[in-house]
Amino acid sequence: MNAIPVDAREAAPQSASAFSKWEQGLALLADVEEDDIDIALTPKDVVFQRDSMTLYRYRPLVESPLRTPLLITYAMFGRYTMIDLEEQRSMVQKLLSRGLDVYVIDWGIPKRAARWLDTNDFVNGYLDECVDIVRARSHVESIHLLGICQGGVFSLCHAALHPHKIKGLVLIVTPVDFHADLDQPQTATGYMNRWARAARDEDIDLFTEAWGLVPKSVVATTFMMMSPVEHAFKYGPALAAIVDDADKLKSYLRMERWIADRPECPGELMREWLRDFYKHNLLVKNEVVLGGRRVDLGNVNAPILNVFAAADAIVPPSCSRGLAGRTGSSDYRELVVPGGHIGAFVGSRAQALLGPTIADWVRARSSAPSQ
Amino acid sequence: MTEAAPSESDAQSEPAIPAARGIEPFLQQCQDLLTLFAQSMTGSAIPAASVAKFLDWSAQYDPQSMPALAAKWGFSPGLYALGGKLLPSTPEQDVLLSALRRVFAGAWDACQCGDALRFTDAIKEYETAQQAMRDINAQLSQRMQHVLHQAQARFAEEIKAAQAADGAFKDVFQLANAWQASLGPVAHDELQSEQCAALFATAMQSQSRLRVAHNRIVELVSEALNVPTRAEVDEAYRLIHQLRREVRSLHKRIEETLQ
Repeated sequence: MNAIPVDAREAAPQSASAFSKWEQGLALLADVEEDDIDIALTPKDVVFQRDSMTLYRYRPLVESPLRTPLLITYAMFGRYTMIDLEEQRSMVQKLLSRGLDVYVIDWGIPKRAARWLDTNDFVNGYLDECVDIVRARSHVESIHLLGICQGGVFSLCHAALHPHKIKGLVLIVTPVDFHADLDQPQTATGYMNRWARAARDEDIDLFTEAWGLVPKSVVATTFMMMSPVEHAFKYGPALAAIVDDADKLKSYLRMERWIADRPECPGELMREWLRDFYKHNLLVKNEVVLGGRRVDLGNVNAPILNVFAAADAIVPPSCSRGLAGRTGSSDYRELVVPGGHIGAFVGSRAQALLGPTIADWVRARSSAPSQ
Repeated sequence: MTEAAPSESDAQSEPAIPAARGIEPFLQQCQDLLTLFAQSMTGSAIPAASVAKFLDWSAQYDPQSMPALAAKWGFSPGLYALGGKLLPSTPEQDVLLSALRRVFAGAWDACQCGDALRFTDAIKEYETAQQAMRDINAQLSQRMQHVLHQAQARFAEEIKAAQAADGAFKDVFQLANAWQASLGPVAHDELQSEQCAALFATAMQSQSRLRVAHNRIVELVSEALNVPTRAEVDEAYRLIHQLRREVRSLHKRIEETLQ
């Protein structure tokens, strides 16, 4: 009996088939042009720019979009382009097709000068400025905010500090209670929580001082370490399975393009993120101080839709659920989508659920379409 | 004009140290200074063991190695060779060396030897940080080996089960998936362990220290080349950033007042 039971009668033709598959795949790869794997192609216009940050407005797909606009804020650890990866997998397209007026903040690629930007600069600086611009353009007192991951933390803090400007708050895969994984441990998730808690404050300070602007390679390696086996096999069997399918291969490459397009992270922002949020969990304790003002989650009184992914390896679902009962909102709803941290946006099952649910939720809590 | 011949009384009051002309005599002069210093410590309140250690250490000072090193690094000659070899690291010697540096720091800077010494120190720190990084990487490799061994054992069980069921892997993808199914849970158990978290924290610390040591060397080179250092540029950005925050705050207050 063989040590590894492989049916020899089937092995030879299977090997030939595998070789043929790779041959076709290599030919396809050779033909792929840069334009073939462009991402974030939904048309949009520049509304405002400051430093490396750009505020865009997506061109509406309906004649009279909803009067209350939606402003999307992504994290600093990846580009916003993931929400508009490709036509078949675009949360933005789904929102636009349902008549929403959608804006997005592109944090851009920070340079060394951004080394001193901290959470307050993002929340009370860039984000608040963008909120005011969108409010003024749309002639409304308040708008909807949609925050993703760290962008959700920014949005939540903003809503707590400027509640009168926020009509509704959508949070997607957003960590709120960074220690909730202790009470509800889950397998294969929450590594960042553990690693940050194991580091001393001095280690975090040293890390920040050493890098200044944390390189994208360091950020990328950290994310990769959260699911190392999956990452290793992604470039092996997973790729082999689709390598001879032109459409699937291009889709795969578009995702890789987004993964590779990662920005550096300002040192002070990283210091506060690791120390104040991850290690000391100040957000749920209402002890985060931005611009001299304490962030009190009880001040968030806007309707909230809290979306998290069932199999999120980066933000344990329990950490997102930690928002429940901690705000002043009387309209709080949770939505669980299938997939992981990124799969929540680009997974086929999630696609059918995420965009439409958000759009319907926002519409139900907005003013009538603009005249 | 001719120099007056030294008087007998001059020769008796001070030891004769010839004026240095050229690098080798200058280095020999440094050696002589060390010897004189050591002699002056004998019979002093400094413990005899410390004196002996200093004498032993200073005997390692090799003026002949200096020219080659100086040529390589382009530094002016001086007491660079004091750090040319890996310095002894016992606490007593470190204390003695620190004392020496404090005493002679001014003279060294005046002879433009201070930069060389600081550069040597920075290199030593970098070597120490590199070694720490190697040590932590070795520990990480050990853990990875441990994970792979455990995964192999688990995979062996999977194979046995497949054999017992008289089944075979249908294709190489199924085989690869079976291996992933064995490796995944083992890797996750390891990543979630307290030991792994502590190891990653140490790795973060070591990596940061290495980076700091690297930055220090670059800073010294920048200073030597009269080029703004990263720290100076960062400080300038910090001040600019602070001013921008204040201006933004003032703008907001003005707008709120006007409204």
